[in-house]
Amino acid sequence: MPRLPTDRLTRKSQFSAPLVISHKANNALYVYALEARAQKLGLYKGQPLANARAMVQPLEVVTADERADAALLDAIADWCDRFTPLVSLDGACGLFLDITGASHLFGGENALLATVIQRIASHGFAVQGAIAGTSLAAKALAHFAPGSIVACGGEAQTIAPLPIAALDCDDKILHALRHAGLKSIGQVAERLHSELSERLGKRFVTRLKVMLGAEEQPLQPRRPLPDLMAEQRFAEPVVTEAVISASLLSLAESLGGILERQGSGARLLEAVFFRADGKVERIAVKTGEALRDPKVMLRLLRQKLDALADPLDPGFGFDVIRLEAVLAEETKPATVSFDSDENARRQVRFLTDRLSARFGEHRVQRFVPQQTHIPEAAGVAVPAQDSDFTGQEWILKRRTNDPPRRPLRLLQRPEEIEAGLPVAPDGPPKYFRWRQCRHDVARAEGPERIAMEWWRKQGLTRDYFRVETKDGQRFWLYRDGLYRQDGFAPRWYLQGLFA
Amino acid sequence: MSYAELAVTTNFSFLRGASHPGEFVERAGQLAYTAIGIADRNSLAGVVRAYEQWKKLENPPKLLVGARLVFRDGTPDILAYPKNRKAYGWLCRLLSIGKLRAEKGDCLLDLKDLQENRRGLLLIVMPPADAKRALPALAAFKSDVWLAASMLYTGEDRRRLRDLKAVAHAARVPLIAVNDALYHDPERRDLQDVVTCIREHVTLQEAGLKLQANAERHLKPADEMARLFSACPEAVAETVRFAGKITFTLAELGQRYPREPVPRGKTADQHLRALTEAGLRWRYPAGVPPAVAELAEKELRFIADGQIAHYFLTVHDIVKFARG
Repeated sequence: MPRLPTDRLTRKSQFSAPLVISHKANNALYVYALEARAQKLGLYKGQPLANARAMVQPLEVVTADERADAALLDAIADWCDRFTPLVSLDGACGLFLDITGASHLFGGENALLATVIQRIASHGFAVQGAIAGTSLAAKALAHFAPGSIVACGGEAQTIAPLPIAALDCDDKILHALRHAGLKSIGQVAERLHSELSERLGKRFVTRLKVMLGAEEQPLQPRRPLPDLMAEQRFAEPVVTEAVISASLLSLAESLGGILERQGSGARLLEAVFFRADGKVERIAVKTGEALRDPKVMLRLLRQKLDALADPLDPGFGFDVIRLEAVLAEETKPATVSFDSDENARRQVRFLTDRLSARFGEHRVQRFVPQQTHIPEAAGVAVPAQDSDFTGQEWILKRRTNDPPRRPLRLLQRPEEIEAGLPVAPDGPPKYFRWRQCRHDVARAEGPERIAMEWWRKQGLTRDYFRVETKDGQRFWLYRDGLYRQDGFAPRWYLQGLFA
Repeated sequence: MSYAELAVTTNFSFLRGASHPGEFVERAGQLAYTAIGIADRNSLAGVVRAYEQWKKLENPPKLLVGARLVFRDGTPDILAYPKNRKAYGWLCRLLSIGKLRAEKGDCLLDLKDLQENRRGLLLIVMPPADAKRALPALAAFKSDVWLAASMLYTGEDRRRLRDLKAVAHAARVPLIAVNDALYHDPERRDLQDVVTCIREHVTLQEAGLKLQANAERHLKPADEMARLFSACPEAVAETVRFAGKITFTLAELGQRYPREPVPRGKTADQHLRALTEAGLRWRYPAGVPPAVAELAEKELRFIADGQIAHYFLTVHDIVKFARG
């Protein structure tokens, strides 16, 4: 899309004068992109803006907004996802689509290329495209022989007559090639590779080989490729809830079938809805356990869809719906374990999956134990579905029949209390005031003395007490620091409540 | 108020204790303890240093020599203190049994070994996490057994003391107070944490619960121990009674060379003289030169004066063995 920056503006509003986009480099303004009208008047990319202004009057000049351009390119790439999951960005205004094994779905390569070009163009973009066996060959052809479709192995022959500018390498190399009297890619290709690599570097030779189809260069996918997927295309865009649901179910069934045959299950599911007008909606659901039961998949997706802040808007309808197992994992055959613990764990995992699908994975957390004596650091909350932490289990430190050593949950931060005098130098207070309420201590156990980690931070040694008030409430208090002879009066804090 | 600390782990319990034996003895003197017992992990190595420092002190506390026996069969640790010189020999023998079984630096003991070699040893069973688990060890010995109790600010000290009291009562053994000291001064907690990390092959950040939660395992003043054990004052008094039962001191240990077998009816000197004369006849078949005979006579006299004939009898055995 050679005019992406100007197309972005002209799609929305009309400019009376020819439009150029300016860009500041080395403290001077240059032409960054320009409309077809401007090009016809002899302006060109990279021209100093002052020169352009001198040549054409009046001229509409807008400063480049690279972020908006990138966002637009991304949106177009999103739209292109309907043709293949492997879409890759190329520079500021190009896209690579890996259509390996996909073209037959669209009536062959000719039809596919025509469809892509026609549909992008219908949104008001200047667009050129080509199909070839390697990315760089396709790119060169798209720029210099748009519309070409080259069968695998024919790249060298098709590309040979293109000018060396199609090599798309930096000016130094182009200059060197011109100096050597080489005008077309074919002439360059005839030269010995050893000679070229000595003069122009290895990377240039690699590039040349890829362009001629002699070597492969993998594309960088824009988003992770799904391990497995199922998709459904509609001749007429679908709008109604019922049809969308039915389609999701049939997709879940076919994806479930593929997973079953592979002996794997999905850990990350993504439903992708391609709207006819180009907008793409993605709904991702993470699961704690590898999943392949279509009904469960559907249930998780439904829950996520129902919980969306902006409900799924079909607009003029979806023309493609795809269900991806972005992450599939090998599973053991589904068996019912006789170990009741394992079944219970499975149910908890299923519950966390459902809750996470509904409220978001960061909202459903569980505590993971940490190796430290400091109470507030002894557990950290992590997303419940995160499998990195499954090995770390809590160990019950107290013996059966003993009261709990710690409250189940601590306060966000310890709250200072006003404490009465203690019974003994290292005893609990007789009473204390917390959140404006006086509590009289009836019973107490402690102290549990915990010193701070001296290598980490300074802090006072704490004496913890489990106290029961006269009303029967149980609190976890601590004295921050020990009583000393010099009259230092330590503060008291309340850190948690026993249930 | 008097107190004796009997559970002391010095830096001779490798990578466990964080103070020198001498520092413990010196601090015990400052705190006016009745006695201090050094009991390192399956070792007596630290007691010599403790003794050296002890000799320098004026009015020192009684120095008790013992070892903390650590078992491989799940028995809780037992502090063993010999009552007298003979019992000290038995303790050494017991440790040798364990060390001969193991690779260098280790010591593998079972409760059975102690049962077979305990003559004259006073035993203190250290409290296991679950007080009841001390019962088999307590039941294995008829007399001179104590159950230790400590108040280390775990948050459950009082409840634990109550449990230990019940177990001691059930086993009909006295309860005895200890502070299970790892260092003489609370300032050494940092060092103790560091040596723990070295022992466990972890960094401070990873060590976490392997470290002690606080700095309480130091020598505490007698009245502080009395306050901590106010629910059980007899346990503190028991420490003094315990120390009173021990008469052994390191001063009783002199150089003792083992006796070589000597033919019946002869002294070692006579036997050595007979061997020397036989040797001279073998070396000089033509007659012993007067100078040599004179020298031999002079040396035999010197050996007799020094009472070191047994040593030369050992040398004779080795030479004989080497000549085949």
